[in-house]
Amino acid sequence: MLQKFFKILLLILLLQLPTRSNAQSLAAGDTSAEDMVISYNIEIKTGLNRTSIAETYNGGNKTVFISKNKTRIRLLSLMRIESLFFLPGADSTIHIYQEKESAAKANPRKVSLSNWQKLNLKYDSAYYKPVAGESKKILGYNCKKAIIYLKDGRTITVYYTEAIKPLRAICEPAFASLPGLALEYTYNYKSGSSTYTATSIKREMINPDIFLLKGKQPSHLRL
Amino acid sequence: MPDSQNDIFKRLSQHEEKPPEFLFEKILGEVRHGPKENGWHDLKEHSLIPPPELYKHIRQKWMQERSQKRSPVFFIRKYRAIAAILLAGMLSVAIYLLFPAKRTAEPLAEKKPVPAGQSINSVQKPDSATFNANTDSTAKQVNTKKRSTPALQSSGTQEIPFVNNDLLSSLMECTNCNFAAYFMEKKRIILDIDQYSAVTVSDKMRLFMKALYTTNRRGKSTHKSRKTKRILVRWQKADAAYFDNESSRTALDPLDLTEFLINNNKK
Repeated sequence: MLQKFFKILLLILLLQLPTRSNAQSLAAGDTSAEDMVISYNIEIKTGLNRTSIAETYNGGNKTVFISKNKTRIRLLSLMRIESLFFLPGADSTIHIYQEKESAAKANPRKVSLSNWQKLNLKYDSAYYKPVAGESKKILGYNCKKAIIYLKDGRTITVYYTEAIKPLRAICEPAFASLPGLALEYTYNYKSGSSTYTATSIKREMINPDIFLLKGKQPSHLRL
Repeated sequence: MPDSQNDIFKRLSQHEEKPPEFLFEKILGEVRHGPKENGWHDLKEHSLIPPPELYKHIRQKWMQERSQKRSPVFFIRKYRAIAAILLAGMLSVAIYLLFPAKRTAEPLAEKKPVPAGQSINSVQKPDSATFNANTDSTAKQVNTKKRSTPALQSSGTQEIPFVNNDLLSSLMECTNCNFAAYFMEKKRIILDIDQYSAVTVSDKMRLFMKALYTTNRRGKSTHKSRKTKRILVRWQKADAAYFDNESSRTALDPLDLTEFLINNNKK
């Protein structure tokens, strides 16, 4: 009887072993898989009771697609669908394209490096300070709390994990100083705030169409 | 002999004799005072049975007359119906001409839905050689797995045309979609875009958009619905004016986006 019980227990343990090892490898920041998709949920708080334009972004989604040397950051909301493409050029430089997809005619425009730097000037010489003793688990990753200080006095509260490599500095200049990937960040402004929280991290092959400008768009939405 | 006979007849023809006086008075008295009661009484009890064909004949005649009388009545009714239809038609035309503003409510007419099956696929390669090579090499590794994140699962019960890849316009323009039921329910509304992403309609937005689909008894959009649509169009314009064709800010930057949303918090 006891032997039978141990046999069943062993069988259960054997069945669970692959999933456990998979989780461990993800947690340990396995970099063998080159493709990764990170989804963030966007929560906007205005501090007001009335409905405003903020609600058209509240519940939106920010998705980061990473495949080899290509990166795409897509903002998805009721109001706007927009993407930033960071694609390798022939001369081993990175080409940046901005595309507003929620339009009658999607028109990607190339963003020159100087313009990109100008756009992110506020993050120049930004630095972070870890908040000792404050951490939380997001999607199974231990995340440390830190505050990013911008030179103009604005701050971003961030939870980051060192288990996953951060994005290239050019893709997310706000978090360039962090030693890991930001899984949650909050920006407080006046009476409101915006919080981006990671809802999923997938290490899987990404459909190459994702990195195409004016790529395939669904003709129908599912509600 | 015949002459003598003729004479007799002649004399007879001219002969007259007065009745006796009492007889004259008797007859005069009867005329003045009417006949005796017994004579009327006999008349009262007198009855005549009509011949059996007479009844049938009268009935046939009556039916014939009746049918002849009914036909023009039917005719009038027919005209009345035609007149009613004409009147209703004229009334609707008058309403149509009198209230043109309600028909052309909102300026989003130029946006056309992407037909099902057709995709915007005119690929512009950012850097032709390298990018093309990279794409081709990974083309076989297309992932068609469905998303499994519980927070972003869709009910998948209704499909709506994706107008110009614009979610808000898609929800606003889909006139034949029964959204009212979705927005009335106290349930999270999740819009699935692809296998990677989905948008959740917040509770505040759900309640706000509920008004967009309200209709009156005639099935027409209400004043509140038109007002909601106007607000949404105004927001769209404000958003486009702030972010489009502007190189100093982008909606993808959390700081730019938050500051825009908090500063534009008017309804």
